[in-house]
Amino acid sequence: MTEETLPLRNKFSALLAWEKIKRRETILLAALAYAFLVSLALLPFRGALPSSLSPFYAPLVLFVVFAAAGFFRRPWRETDAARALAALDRELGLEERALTAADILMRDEADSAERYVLSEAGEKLKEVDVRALFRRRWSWQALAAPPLLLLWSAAVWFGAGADFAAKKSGPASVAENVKEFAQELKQKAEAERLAESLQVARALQALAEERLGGKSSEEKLGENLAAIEKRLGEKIAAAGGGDLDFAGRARDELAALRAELEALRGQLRPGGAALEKDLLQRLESMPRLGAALAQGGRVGENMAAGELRSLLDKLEREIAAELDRRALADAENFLSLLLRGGQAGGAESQAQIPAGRAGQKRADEKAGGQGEFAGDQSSARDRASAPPLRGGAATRIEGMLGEGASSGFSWRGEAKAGASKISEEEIAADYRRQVEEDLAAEKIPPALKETVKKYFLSLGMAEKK
Amino acid sequence: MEGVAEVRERMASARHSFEDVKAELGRVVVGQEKSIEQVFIALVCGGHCLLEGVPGLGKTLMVRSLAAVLNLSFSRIQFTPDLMPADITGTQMLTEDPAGKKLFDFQRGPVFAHVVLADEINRATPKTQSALLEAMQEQSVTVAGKAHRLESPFMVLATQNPIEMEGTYPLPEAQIDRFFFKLVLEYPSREELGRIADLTTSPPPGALNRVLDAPTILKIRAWVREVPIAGAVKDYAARLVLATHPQKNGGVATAEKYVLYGASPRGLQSLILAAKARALLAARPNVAFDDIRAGAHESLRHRIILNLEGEAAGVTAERVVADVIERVPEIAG
Repeated sequence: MTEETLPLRNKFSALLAWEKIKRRETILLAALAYAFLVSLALLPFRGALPSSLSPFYAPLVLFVVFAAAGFFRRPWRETDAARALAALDRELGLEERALTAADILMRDEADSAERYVLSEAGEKLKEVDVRALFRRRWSWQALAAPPLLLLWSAAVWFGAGADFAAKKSGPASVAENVKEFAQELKQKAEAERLAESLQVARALQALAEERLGGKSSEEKLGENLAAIEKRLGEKIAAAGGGDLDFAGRARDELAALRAELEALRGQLRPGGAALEKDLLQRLESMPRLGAALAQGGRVGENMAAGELRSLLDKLEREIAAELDRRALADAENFLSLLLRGGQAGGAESQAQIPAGRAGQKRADEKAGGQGEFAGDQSSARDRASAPPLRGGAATRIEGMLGEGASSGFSWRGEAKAGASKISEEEIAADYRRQVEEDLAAEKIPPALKETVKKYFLSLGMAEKK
Repeated sequence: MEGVAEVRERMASARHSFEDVKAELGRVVVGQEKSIEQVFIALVCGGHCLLEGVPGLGKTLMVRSLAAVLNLSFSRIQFTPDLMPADITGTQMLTEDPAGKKLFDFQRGPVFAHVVLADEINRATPKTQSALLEAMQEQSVTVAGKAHRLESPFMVLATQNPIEMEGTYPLPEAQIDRFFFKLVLEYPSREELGRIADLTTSPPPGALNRVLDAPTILKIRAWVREVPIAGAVKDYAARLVLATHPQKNGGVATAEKYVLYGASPRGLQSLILAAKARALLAARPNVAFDDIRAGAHESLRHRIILNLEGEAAGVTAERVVADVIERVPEIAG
């Protein structure tokens, strides 16, 4: 029997081997797809992992775990072999000849009827190529694996999740703080046209982004920040005070002065003619500018327009230099706090940075002291809710209530007070009557009649109680 | 040892025999092809059938004709409330031998035939019904302490009228379980009624030809048991039977909710034997899943006992079997 049935045995072995391969492939591809899917979902939480752990480990580890789980959950069983043989029978219309023949082949002996089954199965399966008959069918996981791989690679390449990681991890949060400060400084410098501050802001932003992108180390960032801090210190020390003394003035006051200066410059006519009367009157309405000009020289009717223009230019340069110096001092202060905090380490030091920045702002305002003019004095509430350093003037849009038509309607119902008009007894009697009619009409199955009757009788007894 | 060619030949022979029987019966019995096939399958499996159908569907004609075609002896017993067990099995009669000596002689009852039609079996008392029990199960009758062997093949075909239940004695479950199949005869279609009218109102057809005989039937009976069945197919039959049980079912809600007792192990025997016979009569060398399903209703419907809820909800054993077939997968998960 062995020699006769060898081709059939080989055919069955080929079928089962092919099915096992397909099963393995299915499990591995599903594991791969799920690994990339979960890796993508976990990408924003990279910060929770140690920074030394490459993001490439995640899909690898997940793939191994999922594949192991897949093989554990779906091992190759005897029923799988039977299923494969039954599928072969179904596909070729063999009416379970293959299934029966495989069963018979597992035994050593076969009677004549069984040998007939073997011969029929052998005959029908002789030319069958099981690989061609049962081609691979790609599951959605298999189809999704390549796009998921591409998606995940792109996400890792473009640094998805790095921001979150920066926020979460200790070292990266320094860079995040620097970046935030640099953006604020840049906005302010652009608004107030502070050339030096703008340069410093750009340099700080570049350093922070380099770190957040993983292109530089924490140590390198620290070194660069220290170098910038040192240069800032030198620059601030080198910047001497001008002819006019603005050191004691508040930042807001300087900004207001600059605004008045620009307004006056707009009214100046070209050439060197004498100042017009209305211009002088206008200057009188600008108390800050008037006071500043009075500090620098005498302004009067006999003053030429060119002379005033050069005076205004000088005044503006000095205001800009003072504002730039203060912004640089802020930056130096910030870097100093940041670097000290970095050395101390831990959450405590991280908490110092924003607090330090807010403190710096308040100290700056206090340094200006109380304004000389109405409206300069900031209230306690303003100080408490002081906004971060930002350029640009605040705006307020006021609305006005107007007249117009509106529509609406209301529903009114009337509730009738008092008890229900139908008594409980009446309702129970009505139900009972209905049931009795149903019982009489034989709508209730005979086997249940007694049960139904007992139930309603019990209801009546409960009522009496 | 018999060769493959001989097996092929005997399968072809079994198939031809069956085709001949069907063709011959088709001359006098209109429609009921499925019932004829099931009765023949029960016969070659060594089982008995319970026929259920309204009067006039040709139950008696079918059974009588089958016996004639198979060249088997036939007897009909009309069950009535006053029928006694001895009326079925036979009795001891006091007789006189040629020498004048008186002695008891056993007079065989109508049960001593190859094919016994027990007409309206539920009209007799349980005592009389049970007289058939030994005959059906043991294929022997014991009278006055002496066992009398019945001839082979032996088959009981009992009929029941489902609409006249007054004054009847429903068969006990143990006795119902002894029937291999329960066949429900359907009312004929319009075309079949026309053919019945033609057949019964014109000159009668000639006598039926005898196409088989008892020894051939016994041979086919032996061949049936030799048909191979795969383990997975056998397992499918077992799972079908288990699924009719409320506790052990494979997720079949109807069985779980409405069945009191599921099919007995005799149900499984019936399923597999009938499937083997079906394969043989189709000249197929082995049992297929379809063979199991084809006989599921006939094998299981009378072995399922519904609970009160099922009776009240109008659920039938047919529906339970249909649900079981639909829900149970061919290969176990």
